[in-house]
Amino acid sequence: MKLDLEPQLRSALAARAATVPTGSGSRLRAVDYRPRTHRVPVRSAAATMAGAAAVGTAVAVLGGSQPAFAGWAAAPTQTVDAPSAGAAGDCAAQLAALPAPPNSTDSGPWSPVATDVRGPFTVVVYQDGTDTDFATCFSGPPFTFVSRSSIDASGGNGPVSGSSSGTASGLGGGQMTENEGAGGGDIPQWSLAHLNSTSQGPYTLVEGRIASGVTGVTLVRDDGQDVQATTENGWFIAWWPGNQGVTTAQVTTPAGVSDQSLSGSATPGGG
Amino acid sequence: MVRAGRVDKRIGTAMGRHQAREDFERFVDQSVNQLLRTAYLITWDLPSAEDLVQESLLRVARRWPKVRSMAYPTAYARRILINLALDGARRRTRHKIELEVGDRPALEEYPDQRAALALGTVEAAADLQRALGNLTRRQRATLVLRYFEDLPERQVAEILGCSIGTVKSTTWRALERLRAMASGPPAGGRSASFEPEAMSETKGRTL
Repeated sequence: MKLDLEPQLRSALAARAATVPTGSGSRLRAVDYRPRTHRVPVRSAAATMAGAAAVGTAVAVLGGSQPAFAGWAAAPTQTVDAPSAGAAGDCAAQLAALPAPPNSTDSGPWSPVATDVRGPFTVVVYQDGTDTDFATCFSGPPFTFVSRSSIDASGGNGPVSGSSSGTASGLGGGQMTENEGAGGGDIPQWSLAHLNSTSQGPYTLVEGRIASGVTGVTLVRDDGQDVQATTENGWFIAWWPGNQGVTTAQVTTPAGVSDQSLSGSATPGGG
Repeated sequence: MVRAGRVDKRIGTAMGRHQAREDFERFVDQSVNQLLRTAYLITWDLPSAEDLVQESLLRVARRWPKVRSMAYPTAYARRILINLALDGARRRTRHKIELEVGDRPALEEYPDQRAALALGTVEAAADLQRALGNLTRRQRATLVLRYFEDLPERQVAEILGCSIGTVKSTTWRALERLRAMASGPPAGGRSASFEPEAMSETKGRTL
């Protein structure tokens, strides 16, 4: 029987939707969702650039009175054109020691293209002059964590080349899982990694590429808190203590602010 | 004077929070049915749909001060719902078994032509329902947004986080699959299909 599909499709969907029992809606209405009733203030980038004190977020205390990742802030605490000498030195040494990922050749020299600073912690993205190889270095008291990645040069939808990672001083690393995705639009590529520092505990790192014209990215975490990313040279970087995920980014362009979903596939990784 | 001012501010703040809570309850009341229908059509399973809607509303609740000021908060909630639906589906491979239940009588058993045509229409609708249930969740979400929510391709692309071209190709593939499945051989006995969830189109990297 020939199917005149689109009208029948509309009818079939409507018919199916009509079978939802009214009790389901009543049950969902009865849930106490505890809506937040006031905004949680997030310090703006302008205020931090003016030298105002960073807003710290207390996280799980690990074995003492000092909270983990003390000094972290939901917005970058200073703008830098290059990482500090100490951070750069640690990173350079670790990158040099890191083997190339599978299906990638040794490359370099590495140049920093974006730097995110939050309190005593610095995250730097490096590129080697190609669009396929890049590296990330996360440093702070008392660890340095580096990773290196290589993108499938064909830019296709298949698996990417691979990565390698390492840590300094026997600290950091640990279990790592990552989500990746193509957000499309203003965020064409991004990755989210759940990492664990043996000294500081779990943390989440999000980084990716942004389209030209993007002047700001704010990530909306699963728990509702906004985290402002560093945007620089076509990259964005953000991170936070804990394992909260993110599904939406608020992207600022000259045209205004728009929401972009960040949904991707999960890839288990090793530390 | 200062003291009175402080009291006023406290009262004002309490009233504002009460109003925010009331506004949220009104939002839930107005949007829950639509969200539930959309969730049900995407998941094809009522308990999953209820869970999805509840999780979506929890996330909206956490961001209510900001969502409340949006022009279309229901659209925002729908976007969260769809992201959750597709995000969860991508993390596992789903096996679906389609059962053809019972035997359908042949048309010649119905001497009344109109009854036969009506039965044919009912059969076609039932075939189409079964075929819809056999699509991947992403295909179904695309069709739901296009043909149930009646959204333009551009908006569907925005919600799904993909290009308009991808929306077009996903729609086309889904419709072709529906045509093939719905106009397949008559029922009888049992058939099974294996349908892995489609992987998202990603350009990305892994560590």
